[in-house]
Amino acid sequence: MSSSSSSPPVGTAPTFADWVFIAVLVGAIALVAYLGAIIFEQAQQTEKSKRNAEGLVTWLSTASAQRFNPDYPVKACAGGGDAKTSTWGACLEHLMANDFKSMQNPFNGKPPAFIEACNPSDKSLKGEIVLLKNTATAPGSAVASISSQLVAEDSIDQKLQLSIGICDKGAYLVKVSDFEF
Amino acid sequence: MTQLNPQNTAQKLIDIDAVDAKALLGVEESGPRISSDQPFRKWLYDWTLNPNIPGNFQSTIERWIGILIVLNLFALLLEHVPAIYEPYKQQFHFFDIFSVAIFVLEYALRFYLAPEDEEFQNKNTPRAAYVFSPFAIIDLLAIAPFFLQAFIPVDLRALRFLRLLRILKLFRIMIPAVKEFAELNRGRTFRQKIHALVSPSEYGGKLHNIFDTFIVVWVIISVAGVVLESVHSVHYLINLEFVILDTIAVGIFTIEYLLRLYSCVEEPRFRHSFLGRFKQARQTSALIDFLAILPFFLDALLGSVLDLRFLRVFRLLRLLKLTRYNDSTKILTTVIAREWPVISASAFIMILMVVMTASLGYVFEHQAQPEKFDNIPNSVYWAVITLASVGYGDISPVTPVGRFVTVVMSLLGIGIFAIPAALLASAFGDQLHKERELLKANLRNMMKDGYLDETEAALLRVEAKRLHITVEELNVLLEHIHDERENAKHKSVLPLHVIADNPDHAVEHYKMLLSQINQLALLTDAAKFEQAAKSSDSLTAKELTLWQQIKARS
Repeated sequence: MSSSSSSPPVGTAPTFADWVFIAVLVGAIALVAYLGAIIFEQAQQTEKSKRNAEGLVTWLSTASAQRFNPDYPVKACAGGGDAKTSTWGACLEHLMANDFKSMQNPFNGKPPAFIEACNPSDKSLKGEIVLLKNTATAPGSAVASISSQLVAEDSIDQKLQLSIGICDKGAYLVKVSDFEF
Repeated sequence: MTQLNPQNTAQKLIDIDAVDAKALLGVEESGPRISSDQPFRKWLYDWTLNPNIPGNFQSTIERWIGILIVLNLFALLLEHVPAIYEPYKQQFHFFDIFSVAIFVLEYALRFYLAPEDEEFQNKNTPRAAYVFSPFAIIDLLAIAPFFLQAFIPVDLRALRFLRLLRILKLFRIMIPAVKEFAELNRGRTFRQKIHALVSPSEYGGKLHNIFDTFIVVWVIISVAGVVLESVHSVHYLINLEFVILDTIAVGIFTIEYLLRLYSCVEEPRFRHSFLGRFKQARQTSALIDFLAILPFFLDALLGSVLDLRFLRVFRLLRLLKLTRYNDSTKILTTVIAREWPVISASAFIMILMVVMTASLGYVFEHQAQPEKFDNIPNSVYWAVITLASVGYGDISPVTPVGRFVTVVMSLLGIGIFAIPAALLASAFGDQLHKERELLKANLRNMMKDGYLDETEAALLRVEAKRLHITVEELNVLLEHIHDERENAKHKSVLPLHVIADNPDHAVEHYKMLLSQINQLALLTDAAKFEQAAKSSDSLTAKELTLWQQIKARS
């Protein structure tokens, strides 16, 4: 540790240079606070996107236990029916028209799109929802399951293993949950 | 133990013959000097709260109370994160009870011992004076909310807010430090005060130590935050809290950076207002400070245009800020700079070896394993892993010639790759040895006058701690210096009959006299000497003959 020798005192009141420094210091603090507020705002939007996905997880997980009952009220999302008519597209349409009517992508104010993957080079994907179905592979395969996008034509007449995530402010994937539907 | 020089009352001097290594290094032999014959209350005060007795528990108690206050602050913040608070509600409650118990104990102790405290002992009712003192009121406010809920139905959220008052307890540490700082810097300029606050100097006092501790704590917190952010389950739950934490950390480090940059001109080497600051900004420690805050600004300003997420990992560079408080890296840098020619030479040989091995691997293995040894650049990975004796085994030679070459190159690699490590280890030890020798030489110089003043003793204490000089080593050194001084004293001041009494001393003395005559013979003009001796009959014939004999031998 070095000890320094300071110049002799010339006066105790802050000089003009000191006031300039204080102004710079206050400016720097204000800049950090302003940028921090922007980052916080963006982080909050990511949080809202996460809440969107979590809402879907809650609804779909709850439905999973009942949708194979014959008297399940939401026919569009009911299981055990005709594979051709019981599709994810119909179920999603029902959800977006009813339970999730007010759901918005906080980054663009529109209803969130369901996409296959996030892409950091495509910033328009911020806040969109990544919904994948996990299909088990044959025993002995190198990987236990393969994932692909759950598209509108996919049948939901049987139980599905799903993964859901969202694209954050940098359009990177934030995994939310794996669940059964 | 230490002995004061009665002639000097301004500067406390330690007589070299009375220097105690343990006292000098600040190592207490048998704890503080507190008599057990005094009344219990006085005895307890001396052990726990008396700030004037070195080695008692006063500073330890203050430190731990300070830590507990900071932990309380963090607990309070974490309680507002439901994802953390809900599963650990019970633990948070127990911690709160524990904290209050400690603070109540502290309050009770101070209340009981108030009559022994210098501040209150002259008052008519010392305990009442304590109760109404500002610090005691703060202490009471810190624990009162906990007891409030027992008597009044208080909203829990308000209660949590009131617990923030515990931070006020830090004033007990801060206010004396600020007062001391103001006293030390009386009559100094604003910039000089800032310099005293951020840089080690005789004007910094305890406030400088608190500033350093504050920065170190924030470095640790922010680095822990960066590390925890990489854990998905944690980051998912407290993403917003990490953002707030990072913004506060960057705010603190930005202020620190600007304070250092502004006040550096107080140091002679950075004297010029612009060039001095530019020079300071190019210092390694300043560059580290700058890099610690840069990712935040770049990410915030350019993040929407460029993908700068990779910069986040550079926030870990904040850990390097701690090097300012540790001299090991400075020694390592010195060692690398000193040994650079040898290190660069061995690096050159290593590169040669790697290229050679990769080329030979490609030549002999490409045919057999084209997918693994498809070209020389790709074989470099295998060469490095083989020569460094890591041997992952994901790529290995299969041809007989390839295996033979690998055996030879590996054996050579063990030696070549070990050179820089051995070199650095030996140079590191050597540097430490040199610095210790330098300290010993400085100590000899300091003790030339027979005394150590306070400044010298403080410098010695700091350096001895830095270089890990033990009490035993210092004792040996002191003994050595003592002997040297004794010998010098004996040689110069002993009367002739004392020297004559001891044949060894007599012989040494005779040799010294002969040596002096030899030197005289060499330096003086022989002809003029003899002429003067003869003309004034200063020397007898025998004396002159003896002179001529000695001169002839020399």
